[in-house]
Amino acid sequence: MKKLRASALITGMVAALSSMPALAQSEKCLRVVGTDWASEQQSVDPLINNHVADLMRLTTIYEKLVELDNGYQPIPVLAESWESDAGGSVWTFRLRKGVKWHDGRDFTAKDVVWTLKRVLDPKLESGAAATLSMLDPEKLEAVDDHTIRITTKSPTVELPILLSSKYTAMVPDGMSREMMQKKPVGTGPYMVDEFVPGPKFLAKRNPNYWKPGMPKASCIELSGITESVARVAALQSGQVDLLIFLEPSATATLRNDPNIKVMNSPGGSVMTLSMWVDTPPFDKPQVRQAMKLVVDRQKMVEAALLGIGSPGNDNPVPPNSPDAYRTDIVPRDVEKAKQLLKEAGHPDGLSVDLYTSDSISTMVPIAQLYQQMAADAGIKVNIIMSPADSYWNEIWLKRPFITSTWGGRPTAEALSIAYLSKAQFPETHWYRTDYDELIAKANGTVDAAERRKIFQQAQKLLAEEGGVIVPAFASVSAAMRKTCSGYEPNNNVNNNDFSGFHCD
Amino acid sequence: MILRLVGLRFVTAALTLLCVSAIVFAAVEILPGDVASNVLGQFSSETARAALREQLHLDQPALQRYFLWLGNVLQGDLGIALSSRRSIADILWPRITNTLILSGVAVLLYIPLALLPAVAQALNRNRPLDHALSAVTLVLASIPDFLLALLLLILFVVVLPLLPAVSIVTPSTDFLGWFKALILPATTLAIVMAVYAARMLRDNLIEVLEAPHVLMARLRGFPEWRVMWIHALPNAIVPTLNVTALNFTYLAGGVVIVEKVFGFPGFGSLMIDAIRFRDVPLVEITVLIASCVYIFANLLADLAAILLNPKLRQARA
Repeated sequence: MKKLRASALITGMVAALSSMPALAQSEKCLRVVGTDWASEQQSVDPLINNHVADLMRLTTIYEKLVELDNGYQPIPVLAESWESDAGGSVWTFRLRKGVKWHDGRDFTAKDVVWTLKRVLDPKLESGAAATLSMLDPEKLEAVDDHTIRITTKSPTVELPILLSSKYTAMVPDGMSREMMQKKPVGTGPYMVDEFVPGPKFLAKRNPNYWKPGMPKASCIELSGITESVARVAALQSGQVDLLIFLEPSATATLRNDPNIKVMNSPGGSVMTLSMWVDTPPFDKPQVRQAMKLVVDRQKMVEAALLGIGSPGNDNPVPPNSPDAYRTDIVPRDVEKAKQLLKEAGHPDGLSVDLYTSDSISTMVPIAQLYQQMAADAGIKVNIIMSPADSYWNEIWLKRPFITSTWGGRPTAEALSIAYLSKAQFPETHWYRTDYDELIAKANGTVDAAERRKIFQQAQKLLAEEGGVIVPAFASVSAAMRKTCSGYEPNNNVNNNDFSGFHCD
Repeated sequence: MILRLVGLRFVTAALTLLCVSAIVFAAVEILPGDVASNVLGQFSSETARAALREQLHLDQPALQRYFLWLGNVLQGDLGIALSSRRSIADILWPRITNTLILSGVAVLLYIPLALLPAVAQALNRNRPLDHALSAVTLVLASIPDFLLALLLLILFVVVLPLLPAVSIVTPSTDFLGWFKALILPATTLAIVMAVYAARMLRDNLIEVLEAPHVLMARLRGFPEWRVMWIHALPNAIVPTLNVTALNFTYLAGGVVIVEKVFGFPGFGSLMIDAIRFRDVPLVEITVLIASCVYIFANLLADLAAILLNPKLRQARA
C-alpha cells in the first residue's frame, strides 16, 4: 500500500518536472497580474470602478474620448479634436471615424450622449457625477454622426481634461448595466463573447480595433494575486508576463533580476498627512507650519518609498510640473518649527494622534518616518494603526489627523477635489472663500499663462496656510519580463493601456 | 445505541447551525461598512449608496431581513449574492468542488506524512533518526500555516524553480495543470495536519511495541514488517484516528489561508471575499457550510472513537 502511493507520487513528479518548459505557456495569451481580485464583485460597467481588478478589466474592454499623458495634458482617443467658443461654455468634439464597437456597429455621437447621460444619472451611482456637475444632460447634442456639442452650465476651460475621468469610458447607445453584465460591448483592444465572474478574466483580440496593427496578442488574461511574495515569484518564474501597481518593496527585489524590467511613472500618487484646520491643536497656523517644517522630504522618498517617487511641497501639484508654484523643495527646519510651536503656545512640544492603515502599503512607512522626524521638534506623534478594510469608511474624513493618498491628477482637479469649500471629500476641513474664488477664476480663464499664475497663487495659499502635508509623490510601478514591451505605467493609476503590450 | 447517538447529534447540529446563522448575521451588521460602500467605493456619494441599498432591500430592519432570509433558506432557496447578483447555488458549486479536490489530495498526502515518520521513529527509538525526525516535526508544528505556505512557495518556486507560484485553476485547466497547481497548497495542508498525528502515533507505537502480544508475535518468528503493520499499528492507531478526524475540522478553516496565499479559487477564498464585501447572504451560506463541515468532522471523530473501542461499545450490552 505504501509502495504504490510512493511510486504514484514519484511518477507524478517526474511527469511534472519533464514538462517544465510548459510553464512558459504554449498559448500566446498575455498574462497580466494585479494586486487583488474579488470572487464575486467584478464590474463590467465603467460607472462602477473602485478596485484594482475592475480597473484592469474595464481598461481592456472600454475606451474614453480623451486620455491624459504624464503631464496631465489631454491626448485624443475616441475624440480626434475639440474646441470651445470664446467663453468656454460651448464645446464641440469631433469623434474619430472608423471606430467600431465589439458587436460590429459604428461608434457615433449618439453613443457619447448616452454614455454621458448615464454618468450624470443620479440613479446610476456614478463617481463622476460630482466632478462633471457642470454638464447638463439636456444640453448634449449629437450634431451629426461624428460631432457632439456640449454646453456647460458655467465656463469650463478644461472640459477635455475632465472628460478623461475613468467613469466616462464610452458604452454603446441603449446599453444598460444588466446587458453589460452578460455581454459587455466596448471599443477597446480586447473583447469577450460573454462575461462570467471567475478567478481570471480572459479576453480575445478585437479584430476591428481602430489603432493600426494592434493589439499584437491574440488574447489577454487578467488576474490578481494578493500575496506579494507569490506575485513576485510568479513573474520571476515566467508564470506571468506583467505585474502592475507594484509596491516599492517588490520593485526593490525585481530590479536585480536580469530577466525583469521595472518601470516607474515619472510622477505619481500624492501621499498626504491631513490635519483638520478647525480642530485644536491644528487650528493655529503656526502649529500647521511647524508640522510641515519638520519633514525631510528627500528622506521620505528614499526611506518610505525606497526612492521610487519624488518630493512634495505640501500641495497636490508636483514641484516638477510646469504649473508648480515653486520648483525647489521646502527644506527641513527643526529650529523654526520649535520656535513656531512656542509662539502658538506649545513651548514644551505637542502630542498628536495620527491614524493610518496598511490598506495602501506606502502610508505606513510615511507615518512612521513622520513620527521620527516630528519627534526632533518635540512633536510626539502617536500612530494608530487601523484595519485596512474599514479605513476608508470609518477613519478617512472622520479623524483630525490621518494619512491618505490621491491618484495623480491634473492641476485643477487636484487642487479642488479635497480643498474647495464644497469639496465632496474635505480632508482638511479647509473652507476658504478666497481659495474657492481663485480656483473658480482660474477655471474660467481662457488664457493658459494667466490660468497658470492663478493656480500658482492658490497652491501658495494651500501650502502655507492649509492643513495638508504632502511629503512625497509615489510613482506608479510595473514590472514585466524582458521579452515583453509596449506597456508603460501612467502617473494616474486609472490611465491604463494594454493595447500595445505584447511578448515574444 | 449508535443510532440514538447519531440521531441526537443531528438534532444538536441543526440547533447549532441556527445559532451560528443568527450570530453571523449580527456580526456582519455590526462590522463597519456595508455592501453599498464596498461595491461603489470610497468616492461614492451617500445618495448613490442609499439608492443601491434600496435596490438590495438593505433599508429594511435587520431582524426582518434575517427572518426573510431564514425562511428562504429553509425552503431550499439559497438566495442571491449582493455584490454580483448571481444565484448563490451557481457560485458555490465550482468553488466547493475545487476545495474538495484540494482537501482530498491534502488528506491523501497526510496519510503517508503521518505514518512514515512515526513508524521510522518507533523502529529506531532513541537513535539519531528518531531524534532528527522529532526535531523536524517539532519545528514544523511550531511554524504557523501561513508562514509554512510562504516558505514552501519560496523554496519550490524561487530557489528551486520547479512549481508554479500561483494555483489559479480555471475550467480550462488540464489535468497536468491541476496537478501542478495542487502540489504546494495540498502539501502545506498535509504537513500542518500530519505533524501532530505523527508525534502522537510515534509515542503510541512505542508503547504498543512493548505489549505482550507483540512480543508473542516476535517469538512466533513473524518478520518485523508483519509485526509492525499487522500487530502493532492497528492498535496504536486508535487515538490517532481521533486526531485525524479533528484534523479534518482544521481543513474547514486552514484551507482559507492556503487558498489565499496560492490564489486557489476555492471555497475558502469565496468566504473571505464575501466577508470583505459584507455580502451578507453569501457570508451566511459559506459560514454555515464551514460549520457543517466542522460539526460533521467532530461527529466522525466521536463515532470513530466509539466504534474502535470495544469497551465503549459494549457498555450497554
